[in-house]
Amino acid sequence: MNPAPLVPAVGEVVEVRPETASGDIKTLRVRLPEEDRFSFRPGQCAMLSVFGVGECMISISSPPTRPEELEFSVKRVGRVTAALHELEPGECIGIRGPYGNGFPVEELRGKGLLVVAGGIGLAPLRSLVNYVVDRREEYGPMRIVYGARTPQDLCFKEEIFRSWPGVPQVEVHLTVDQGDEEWTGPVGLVPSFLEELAPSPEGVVALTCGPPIMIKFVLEALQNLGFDDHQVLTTLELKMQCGIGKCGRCNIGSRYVCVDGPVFSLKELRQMPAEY
Amino acid sequence: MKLVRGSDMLRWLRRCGEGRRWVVPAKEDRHWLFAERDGPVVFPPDYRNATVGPKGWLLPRSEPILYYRWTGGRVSVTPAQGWRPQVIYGVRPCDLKAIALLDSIMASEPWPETQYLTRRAHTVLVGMACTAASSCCFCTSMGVHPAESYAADLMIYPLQGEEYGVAAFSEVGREWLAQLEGEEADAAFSPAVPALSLPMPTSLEDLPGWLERRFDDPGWQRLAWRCLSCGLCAYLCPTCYCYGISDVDRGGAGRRVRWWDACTLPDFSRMAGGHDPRPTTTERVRQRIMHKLAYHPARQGEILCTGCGRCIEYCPMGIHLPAALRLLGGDGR
Repeated sequence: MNPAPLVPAVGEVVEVRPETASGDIKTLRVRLPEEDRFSFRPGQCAMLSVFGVGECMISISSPPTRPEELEFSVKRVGRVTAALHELEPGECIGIRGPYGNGFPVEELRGKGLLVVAGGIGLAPLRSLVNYVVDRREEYGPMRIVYGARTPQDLCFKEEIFRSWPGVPQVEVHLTVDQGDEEWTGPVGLVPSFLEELAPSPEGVVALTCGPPIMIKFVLEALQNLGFDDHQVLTTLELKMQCGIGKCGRCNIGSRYVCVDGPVFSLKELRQMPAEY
Repeated sequence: MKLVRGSDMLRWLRRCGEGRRWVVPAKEDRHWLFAERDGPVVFPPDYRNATVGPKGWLLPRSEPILYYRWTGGRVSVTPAQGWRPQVIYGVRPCDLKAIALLDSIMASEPWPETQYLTRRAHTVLVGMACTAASSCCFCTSMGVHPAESYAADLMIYPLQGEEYGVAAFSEVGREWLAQLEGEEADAAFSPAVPALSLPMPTSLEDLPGWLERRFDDPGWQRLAWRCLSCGLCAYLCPTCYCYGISDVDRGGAGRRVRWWDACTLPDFSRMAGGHDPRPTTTERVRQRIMHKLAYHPARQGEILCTGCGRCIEYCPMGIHLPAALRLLGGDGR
């Protein structure tokens, strides 16, 4: 038993990488002292802190197959995320976790995967994608459908443009709401783009994350494509402060996103009140 | 049960609790609350229960989680050690049941809340059975009994005049009781009858389902019109435990504190960036009642209300569980 679950370990920032041209999303690469390292599942989160500013819950965007360092992709939306953006290599960062259920990687084994993400929503799924890339033979074909407002807002450019498309049985389909002079790819919103691609639901599990409004329409699109409720997983985000199911903040009905989620099947989601 | 005279009982308790902090009901102006005092006391005849229960001595209104200090670009973190051995004396069964509920919540896996549990392990709870009801209590409607021991180590039953019965319900309670000189007897104790017997719309077992079917009931909005979002209900409620965490920085050093929060306060669930799944008072009032009567029972099998009656007595706008049940169709709707 952890002697004090709310007390974080102190890690060191190794690299801070801007993901977007505007700099509103940055990826922090962090190293924890050996005695504080933890194992985790793709889709789990950790509570990051800047001492003196506060804490916030961020999904781990690196895969458990690369355990030496953790990566967190952070969008600047408030006080703590702004402070995280200002961190520089060599500086200290508080980390506690891992929290939540994560993706059911054992159950997914042998199945085809359809990853549907928008904007920063690719961060938790990136952990799963790289996990599957590192254990490629254990999973079926993986199709990644990813969109952002503009080409500049697409995250993880090295992976989505270069490394992932080169992996056997991995397809990457990108779309943007609005193109620019250099963009030659599809233009359009993720849900309609997904319906055009019309992936078959046969033997496939769909995993989605993005802005709430995108998730809503992606779920509809998946339904139109013939995906069953149990074939669709989504990962949610709510306000969290403790991460350990005690502060009473992130519940949807009787489920706490921090311990029972953030990954829920559409089947589970339909049994929960629409309060998220 | 051992029978003992009041003055002997207080002497015995004081001796057993030596070296511990005594937390007892104390009157401050008009209100009773649990405060640190020299030792146990005899209650005046009109005492019923404290306005502010003992919850804050186990889950303080504000407490440090850790201290941090920056030196030369590095930070050192020291976990807080926020407990002292204590006796909480004179706790009523509704509040004892509430502590039992808090215990099960804080001990829940996968992350037991060790700071609470450590403080709890260093606490001796001396309960006091009820001989008279306060004007608003309704414990039996919630399945709580005014003479039951629940989380208590020792239970005191006021009998005739100066006579008390004492019984033990834990190892430390039995150790203490062994040191009490008193006649072993089965005294008949007649507990108080709660002032209110709530007209429940359904059995306690069916209440979660009954409420879930009324998730979109217009009654929630009518409750919300009255709610001032002051948070008082949550602060006085013995089973409300929601908390917030924030840093108190004093330039280069500071502490991270955990403090009482309330789901009825604006911004409780508002995220950075602005999204709020419970953006208006309606959703927040519903959350509080549903958490107690539907969500927690679904999660841990028990109703999160012990019928202490404080919300009835002190909400300035008369918003409380019975009012909610009534507005949601408790009158046979």
